[in-house]
Amino acid sequence: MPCREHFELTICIDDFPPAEPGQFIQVLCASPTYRTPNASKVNSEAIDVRTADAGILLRRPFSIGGLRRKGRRCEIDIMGRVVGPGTAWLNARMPGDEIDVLGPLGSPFRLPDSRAHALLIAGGVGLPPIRWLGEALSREGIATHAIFGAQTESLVPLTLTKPPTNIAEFSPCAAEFAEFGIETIITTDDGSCGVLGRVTVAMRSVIEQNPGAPLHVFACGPEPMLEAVASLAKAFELPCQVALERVMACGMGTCQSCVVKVKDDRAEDGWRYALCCSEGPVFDTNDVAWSD
Amino acid sequence: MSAPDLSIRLGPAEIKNPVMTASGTCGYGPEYGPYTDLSMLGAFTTKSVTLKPRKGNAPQRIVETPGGMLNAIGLANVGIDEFERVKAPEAAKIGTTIFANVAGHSIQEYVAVCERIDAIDAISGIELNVSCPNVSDGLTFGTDARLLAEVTAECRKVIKRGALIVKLSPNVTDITEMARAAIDGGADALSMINTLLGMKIDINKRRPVIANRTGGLSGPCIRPVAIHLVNKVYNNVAKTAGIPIVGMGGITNWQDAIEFFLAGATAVSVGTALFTHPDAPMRIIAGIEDFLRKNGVASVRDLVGALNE
Repeated sequence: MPCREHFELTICIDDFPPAEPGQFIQVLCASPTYRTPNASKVNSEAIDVRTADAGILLRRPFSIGGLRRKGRRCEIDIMGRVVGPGTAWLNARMPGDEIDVLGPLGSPFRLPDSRAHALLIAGGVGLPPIRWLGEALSREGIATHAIFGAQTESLVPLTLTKPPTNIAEFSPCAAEFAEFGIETIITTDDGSCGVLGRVTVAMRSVIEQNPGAPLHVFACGPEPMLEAVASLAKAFELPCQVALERVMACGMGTCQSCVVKVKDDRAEDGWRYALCCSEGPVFDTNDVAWSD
Repeated sequence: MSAPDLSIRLGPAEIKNPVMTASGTCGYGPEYGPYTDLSMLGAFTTKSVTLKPRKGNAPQRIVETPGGMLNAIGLANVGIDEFERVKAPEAAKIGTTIFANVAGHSIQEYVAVCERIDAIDAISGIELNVSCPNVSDGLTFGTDARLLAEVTAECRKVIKRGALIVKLSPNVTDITEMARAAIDGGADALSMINTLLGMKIDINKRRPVIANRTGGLSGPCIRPVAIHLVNKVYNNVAKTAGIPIVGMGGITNWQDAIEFFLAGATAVSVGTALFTHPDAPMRIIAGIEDFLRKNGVASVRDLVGALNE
């Protein structure tokens, strides 16, 4: 359910290759005119509009927020925020409009074994990959709980079927998680919905209430939040994977723009740049060289 | 009418069609493998190779601008050792002509890398990157005619087998002077243009968007500049010298490629367009062939500089 800042789209596509939570698609924010033919069959009489000068040049990356297959047909959910002309164009699409997508791209979340207990943490527009991961984990029979954080109630992009508790206790309050049997804690920076404070307030409380539990943390959201989540996970020695976001051009490992600083023992200075589009977007938080 | 002849020649390198990829927009080869058949390319140009590996610049490295993008990657690359060991054999598997782009900080560095690359059979030639705008001293060689002639001549001595292509920067007062210097130094071909220096500012943070402050502008917005400079170099230098030009700058479709041929380019490179459509070069090749057939032109070489004026 979109809140005042977010838009959601479902893209229908035939024969979409196998994809996993954490992977993303690159969406062209301009109208395609026809499907990709074989190069040898190109009708080159007209201007090739698909590769003509468009006002918007590069694709925009979106995490896959859900994926359903019916025969050849695949439905892919994405969620975004209008931040510029590309996302504004996408937000204005109507049912039946055609768009051009490339994917699936990137490396997915690695699922833990069945004894693990997954703790999902999402902030703001970081919700989509976490929600799809929740579905995958529940299908695998892995015990899963979720914490969702936003600045304020009107920025919570979830369907709340009942008021979330204002203490760090899980409840089936968010339909998007409850449909997979996942209970949720909501946090807001101003306390207007759920627990007052950041996601790490609830995360710490959950960890302390479940000493010794085999928790695996999975998170997506703003980078300062992810760094705080990673730091807390490290303090309690919990495995933690995060999906990071970077400005990128190609999404296929060629432009080298989407770099993430990661630790590397083989490097003289102990670090190297990894590409968010191919090595990531999912990283083990112990590998990331957080802001320093 | 028989199929039009698409083949061209850049120095000793015979190339099956005039459509290449631009360095830095196509990695070392395997990256686009799943999305398009790179063996159809006339030639593939690798990302820049330097003597030592380079991490490149801090992010943010790119930003989209009207009709184009700024980039400041900073020559991030694996270095010549890994290029020899891993990347060159991978590129060789593409199944077309491979050019390696070489960058350096000193003449000795350029020469050392060129010598080692010329010894790799799978590489048909070297494109000398004397015009990277995103490293501290990257433009020195590309903006000083005397230095450019010297670095070209020194590299020429060690490039015995392959073609030597010199990539020219548009960030100069008179590009024909640089073209002459490269030819005097022994270049087999010129490629042009590299990116135009640009800058974008985040007005709320009052900071440049690109961490490197400035970046190289590419994409359709620079195409008219590129067409003009190719035409200028062709008319004033290259035509008389008999040196072919590889034209590039915002090429996204076959019409753009034809424009470059008419301006004076013998071949074209597709760059920024690959980021959005990895199959763009294949569509361009098909479009060129179709144009030649419809216009009764026997060879793509007949279009080079063929303006009615």
